Amino acid sequence: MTDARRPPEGPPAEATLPEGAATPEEAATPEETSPSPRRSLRTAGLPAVMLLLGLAAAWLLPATDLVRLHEPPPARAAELHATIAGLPEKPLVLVDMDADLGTYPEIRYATRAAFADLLAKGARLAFVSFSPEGRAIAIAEEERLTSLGATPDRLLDLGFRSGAEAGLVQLAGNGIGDATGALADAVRARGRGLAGFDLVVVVGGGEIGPRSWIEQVEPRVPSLKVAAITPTFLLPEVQPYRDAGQLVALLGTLPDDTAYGALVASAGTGGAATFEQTAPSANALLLGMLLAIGVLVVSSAGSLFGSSARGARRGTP
Amino acid sequence: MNAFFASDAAGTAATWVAALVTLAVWSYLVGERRLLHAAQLLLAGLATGYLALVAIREVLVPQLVSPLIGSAAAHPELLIDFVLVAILVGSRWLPRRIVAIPAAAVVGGTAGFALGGAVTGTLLPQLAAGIVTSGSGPGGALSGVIGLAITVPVLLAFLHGTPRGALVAGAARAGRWFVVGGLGAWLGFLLLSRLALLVDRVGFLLGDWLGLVR
Repeated sequence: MTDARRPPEGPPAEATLPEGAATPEEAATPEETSPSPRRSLRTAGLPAVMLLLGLAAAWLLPATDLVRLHEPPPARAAELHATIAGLPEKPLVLVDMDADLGTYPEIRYATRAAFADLLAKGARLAFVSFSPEGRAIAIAEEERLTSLGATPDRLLDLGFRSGAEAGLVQLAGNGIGDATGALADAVRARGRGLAGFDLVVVVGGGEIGPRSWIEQVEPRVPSLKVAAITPTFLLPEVQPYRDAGQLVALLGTLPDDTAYGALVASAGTGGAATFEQTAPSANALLLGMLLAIGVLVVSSAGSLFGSSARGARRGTP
Repeated sequence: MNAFFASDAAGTAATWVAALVTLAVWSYLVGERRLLHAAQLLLAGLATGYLALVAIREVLVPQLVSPLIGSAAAHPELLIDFVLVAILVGSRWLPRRIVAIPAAAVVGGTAGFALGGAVTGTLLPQLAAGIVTSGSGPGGALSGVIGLAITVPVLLAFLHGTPRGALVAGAARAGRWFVVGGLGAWLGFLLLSRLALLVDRVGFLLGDWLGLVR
């Protein structure tokens, strides 16, 4: 005998939901859950557009001595400059180009400054990549250097190496392999494998970077000198390697990058070593940072006051 | 300097495409989703095509197919590689036990290289660098004490499920705050990094595209 007042057996309200929806929120259409375009422009879009316009206006403002990214010049910039200056004439340099497409714009300025610095020293550059994204950037940068006048005997494309860290171990063991060209012959003539290079410059990203080189290559080729250029978010990971001397030089922040670029630009070398890149706008970065700090303060204050008010209503601190 | 490093038609077209795609992504800010969706599809398609091209042209053909066609007898190990690659390619249709063999080789090899490198390249050298020597002076000693005072509580914070006294529990609580502080600092680095990317994109539009800044 069943009680007529009892609800019927079986799945409750979910049974009436559309197929594939576990909750009423999931059952709602995107139009119902997301704000309308007009509302999103008012609430989120307008401040974002204002931010873009503000950054653009700050870009257009002339640079002044009041707002500078590298004052005083960071020691890290001078370290890389001194490292390159201390190389023998016409050094053989291996460039590991493994930056991410998404973060390379941050370090492009410093990377191109390093290329100009190296070419001014008469360096011959061999490029290798262990990530597909880095390979794309390497091809573009080699093309740029060629267009600036770097002759083929000064550039060597070692291509893409598969296997990530396993590929690094293979490179440490086999060196440049069967690569051909004047630069490859010069490395081979030294007869020391990868140690035939005077310096390795690692342009790192999230996948393969200085840490990979320190962990996989340096224990196998201890005499190899490794310098690195990384985006800011990798600095906490790689700074200990610089402090311990496992990296001979490191550029890891925008002030480092712009100071280094200024050092290279002041050298004023011509040809392929020309460095005429536009530095990141200090005005725009300052405006962006002030806005970010402001948003953080306002949101933190709101949440703090909110929790205080809730605590007061509950009678607890 | 435009997107193709040249002032010819291809370079100009590349700059215009980059600028228009940037604007298409930003159009989401004013509620336009279709342009953003189109840009996302373009990125996914290009990335997939590029990855396939790199895999075929720079890995599979020169390192596997060409040596096998040229002299398979001289590289018998490549036959095994070929079979393993074929299993991975057909993993969707093959039994799980067969697919597990190349998958285990990939995962095991990656873990082996990562673990070995972490010990010999990071852990041991960093431990050596962290040891305060007698000649390092008061600054080095202070730095070492601060490092120890932070490292020990953070390690204790990851002790879960073990009986702890009041002292250890207090240190673990302090360690959790150090972790939170470290994460906050890292997020600050991340914020600056992303801000630099946004400023670079604005600079690209103003300089390379519109020619307003040099």
